[in-house]
Amino acid sequence: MDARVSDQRVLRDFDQYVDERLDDGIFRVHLDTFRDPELFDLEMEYIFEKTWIFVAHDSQIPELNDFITTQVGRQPVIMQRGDDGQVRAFLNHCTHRGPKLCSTQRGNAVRHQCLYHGWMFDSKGNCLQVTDEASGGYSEAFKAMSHDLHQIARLESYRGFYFASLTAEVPSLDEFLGDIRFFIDAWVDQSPEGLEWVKGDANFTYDGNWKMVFENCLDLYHAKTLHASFGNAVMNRFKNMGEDERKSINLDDFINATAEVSYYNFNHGHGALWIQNQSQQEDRPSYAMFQEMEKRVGRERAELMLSGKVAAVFPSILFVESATFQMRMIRPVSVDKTEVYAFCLAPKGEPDDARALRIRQYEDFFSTSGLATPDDTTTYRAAQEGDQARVLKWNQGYHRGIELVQEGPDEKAKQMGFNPTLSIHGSIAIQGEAVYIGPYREWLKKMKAGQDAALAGSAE
Amino acid sequence: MENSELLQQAAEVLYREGLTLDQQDWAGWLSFFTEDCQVWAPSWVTEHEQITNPEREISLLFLNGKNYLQERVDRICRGASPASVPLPRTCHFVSNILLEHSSDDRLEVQSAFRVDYYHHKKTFAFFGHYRHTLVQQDGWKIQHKKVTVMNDFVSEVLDVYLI
Repeated sequence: MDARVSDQRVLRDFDQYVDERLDDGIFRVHLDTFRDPELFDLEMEYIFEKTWIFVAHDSQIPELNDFITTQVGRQPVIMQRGDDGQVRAFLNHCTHRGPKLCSTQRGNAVRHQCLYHGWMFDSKGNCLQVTDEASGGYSEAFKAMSHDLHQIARLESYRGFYFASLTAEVPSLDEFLGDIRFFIDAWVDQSPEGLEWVKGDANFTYDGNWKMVFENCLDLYHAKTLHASFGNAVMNRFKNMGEDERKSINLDDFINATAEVSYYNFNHGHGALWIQNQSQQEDRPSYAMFQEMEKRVGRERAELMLSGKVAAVFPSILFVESATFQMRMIRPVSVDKTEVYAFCLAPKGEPDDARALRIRQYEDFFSTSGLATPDDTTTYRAAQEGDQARVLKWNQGYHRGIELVQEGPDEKAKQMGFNPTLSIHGSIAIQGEAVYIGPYREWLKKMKAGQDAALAGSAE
Repeated sequence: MENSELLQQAAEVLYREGLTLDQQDWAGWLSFFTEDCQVWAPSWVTEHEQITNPEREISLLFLNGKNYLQERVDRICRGASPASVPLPRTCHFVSNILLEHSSDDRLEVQSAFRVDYYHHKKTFAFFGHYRHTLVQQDGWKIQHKKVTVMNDFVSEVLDVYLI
């Protein structure tokens, strides 16, 4: 085959998109990464389809034959607990002529039958039936083919969080997550029985690039301006309704800057933030279990469990504890359209009134019908529209905290025994943006590696 | 009272509630609700199954008490929320109104709705069913409004004026 015809892709110099000169106090990301549709396609190919992507939490498929449907990168996927108890992920694609086998979001099925020509598969993905095979005049070559559903190359779980990778060429999930597991553990260990998914879908879409929501969840800088209306509502509740009405976070922490914060980057592009000495811990739903937690894990870790914190697993999972805890899964649709799937995960065995408070705080802040998230989503669209200013290459939004960046762990990390690649520590007033350095370093690394691998592949 | 008369009174409440929202007459809208009102939009769990308990499961919207409706109105009026500025233009349609249970001081009213709305040069809609509980308090007031939103994959914002 003629190589020039088989691969028309334009070679990109990806270095042009991430301008890192920390010694000069500069960190910038090119606006084309938010607005160039071809770059978006390359991100899907080189990032989302070449790394670990979250597919489901264990508690979403508790019974044998339970399944959910999702996507890994652009690929439709069924994740199912087989009748043998093992969890598998396979493409939601009939091997015969291609229709999706499951068109429901979730369910329980002993087998999947394609409605087009009736091929049938079991809950382990094995083909049970090629309809009317005997009379089909099939070749020996066809009979020698596996008709089973295509299994995703890798599927691993970390403490109930299942991730899949379309390529086998990835490190183990443990290695990929690395020390950001310190934060994930802080959520899982709230209960000795771990976390459970609280039912009810409240998902949303916005007309903006997927990186907008990734950045936003690590951004404390916007809290007191963009969420002024949320802050105002909370303050009025205390004033008008009394202390025992629906409590939530007090944005005073951001305004008065009594709290401290650490920001971290980890290998593979993950970012985190951790608010320390936060007030109002008694208003967190998990406070109901604080004494038990403290006894089990010690005071320091128990306080960490109640603290505001964010763990952003590059590229698409956001664990966010602000008013309460939400996990978000980012599913990019196109360069300017993104779906966000929201998960309320709660400690198993939580008292009923704490669970009810958790749910109210969750809806209040995080839901797209709430008092905070809609202001974020509409702003992503506004930023997407603003970034069409094509005479501009750069925004200035990655500079807060840049002078405070230290390679390696800060004192807090050393004390707690985890090892970030980069830290920023200080008053919460930093509201640091330099936390994005790690994710964009990884972006650059994955894009270059993806292109190199594609070139090597087409040269073969 | 005759059922046909009650049905007409219920319909008037539903139509006028929608109209106050469309006209951004927030005080008028609030005046239709009792102090202990609930506005509840349950979320979906599967294609045809909704949550049943807002204390144990995530709702699309659960406002328990008129205070929380007032809070929404304050948010809209203050102008500090980009999601509410500019507000979309809305048009509430309510139809298929059925009186499910009635007494002289309490009505259970089932209906279908569609809210078309327009912002940023695009037209969107939410549609589904309402179930209103109306109680007699110097005229019919809404004590409970359950909103079954059929198209629940929300584009950016879901708020009281869009359903």
